[in-house]
Amino acid sequence: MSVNRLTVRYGTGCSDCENGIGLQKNRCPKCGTIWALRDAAFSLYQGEVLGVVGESGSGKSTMMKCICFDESPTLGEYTVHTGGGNAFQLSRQSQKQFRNERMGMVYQNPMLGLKMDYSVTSNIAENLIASNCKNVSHLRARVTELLEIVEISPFRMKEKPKYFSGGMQQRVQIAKAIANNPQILLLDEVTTGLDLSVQAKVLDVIKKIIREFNVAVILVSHDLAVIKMLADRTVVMLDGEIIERGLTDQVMEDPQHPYTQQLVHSLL
Amino acid sequence: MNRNYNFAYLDESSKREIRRAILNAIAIPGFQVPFGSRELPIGRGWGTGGIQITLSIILPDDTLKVIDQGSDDSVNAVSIKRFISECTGVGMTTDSETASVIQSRHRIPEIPLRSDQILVLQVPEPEPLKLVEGSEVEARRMHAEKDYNLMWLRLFEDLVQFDEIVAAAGYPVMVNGRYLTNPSPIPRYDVPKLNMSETLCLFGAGREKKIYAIPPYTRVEALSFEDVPFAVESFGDHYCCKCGAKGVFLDESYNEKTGEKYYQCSDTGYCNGRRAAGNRADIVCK
Repeated sequence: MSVNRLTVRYGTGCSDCENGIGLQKNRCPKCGTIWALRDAAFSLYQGEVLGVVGESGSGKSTMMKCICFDESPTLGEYTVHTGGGNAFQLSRQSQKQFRNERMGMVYQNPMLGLKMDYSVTSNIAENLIASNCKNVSHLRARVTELLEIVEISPFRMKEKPKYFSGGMQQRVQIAKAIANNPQILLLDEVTTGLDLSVQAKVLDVIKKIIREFNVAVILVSHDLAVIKMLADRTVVMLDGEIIERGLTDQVMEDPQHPYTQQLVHSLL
Repeated sequence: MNRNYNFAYLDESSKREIRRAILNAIAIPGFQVPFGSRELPIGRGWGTGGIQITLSIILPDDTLKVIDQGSDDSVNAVSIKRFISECTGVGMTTDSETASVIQSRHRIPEIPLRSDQILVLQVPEPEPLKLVEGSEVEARRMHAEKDYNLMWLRLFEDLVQFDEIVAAAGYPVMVNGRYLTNPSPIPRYDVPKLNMSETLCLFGAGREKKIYAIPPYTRVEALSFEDVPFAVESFGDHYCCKCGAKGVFLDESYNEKTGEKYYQCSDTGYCNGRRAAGNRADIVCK
């Protein structure tokens, strides 16, 4: 998949800020427009993990929201496979269908990704049902299989995720995200807010999935250790723009941009 | 008949407006058409949607039957009958065969209806997605996009928790393969009667200000999973203790003194008809 010239702006824009003149961080003082994302571009292959780092407000989540069609961008092209059209121009129904059938998303906040009043089984089966699987025994079998992958006991299948711990909620989200064997897996700060041992468990599950399924992963995190461990390539974002990109090791060992240098040096 | 009011209580332009909404509803089977619900001398939520439809379509030579949960003589049915009779003067009947307009609350008559009859159902909550989506704006968007995954998920959740779908009344149906529709709170037993029915079925929700319709010969399918087929209520070997009818929708009652359970036809018009023809049960209701 590849994304080109992805731009999200809140406001009308003026002749100055459209050419990038006089911006204070990502805000134009003249017309008040906020450029949440500006000309972001990257490409990603099956089986590859792309890490996205950057401070809060740098546009990481906006980019993720655009890619999973939660938000429509001001401008941009999104090709899923070579020769395919611009996915941003599809109808809402087609976008949803695409998201249900070929994308998995894990949100930082499990409240966004899970229905807390539905059982774990229903939550995991949601995307399967949405992509037209209406066979109950098949759904149950698949959910049992997925629970095994994310190491949740089948005895808790009927429980609601609101009674689960944070780490388990994240693993339920992961199970839900991979239920359809997606092409693209989006992980938004999956380990943030979890204690170290639980983090390790969640990361183990993710590593296992990356190894076993040939899936393109976008991994947003501000934990550089997580990025170092999982990502093949990394992009660094600042004020809505991608300021540095390259192999993860290269970005970590030899940062070029002053912000990246600062970021890497602040690593304990 | 009370001459102080226009025929059928509502003024002519109101009736025209409601008929217009009904025509819209028939044109798009299962789609909820908003309409300006009129004031009636009956509180909202007491069948005002159904009454407004009946008043708008009724003609002086019609014969009306009003049913409340199958019963011809419960309070709701009697009051509506008295009101409509006072302001139209049309004939009333309890016989589903002879009625030309049947207004009903929560039941469809036991005998098959014909194409020259109209069935009007009173609906408390027209939105089938209300259960899964509280916002009406969002629910309308879901209808527009034919996005009914949440409803499917709700049914699946029932299967996970209880191994069966527990919705007893108002089982969600797909009308003409397009709109998810609430068939008003009729029992599951009545849902198959809507499929390819000869009769025009009109649904009115007065408080929620919506009218929708299932035109004659329209496909109506209850949502069901491939390996868990839709099933109607079963009453086993029980039969009506008055007329002895079997395989009909039965109401369950208890004898207060002995605690004994007995069953009788929910559709009283049907039961009376059978008894008039000489059918009797071998046990007697206490």
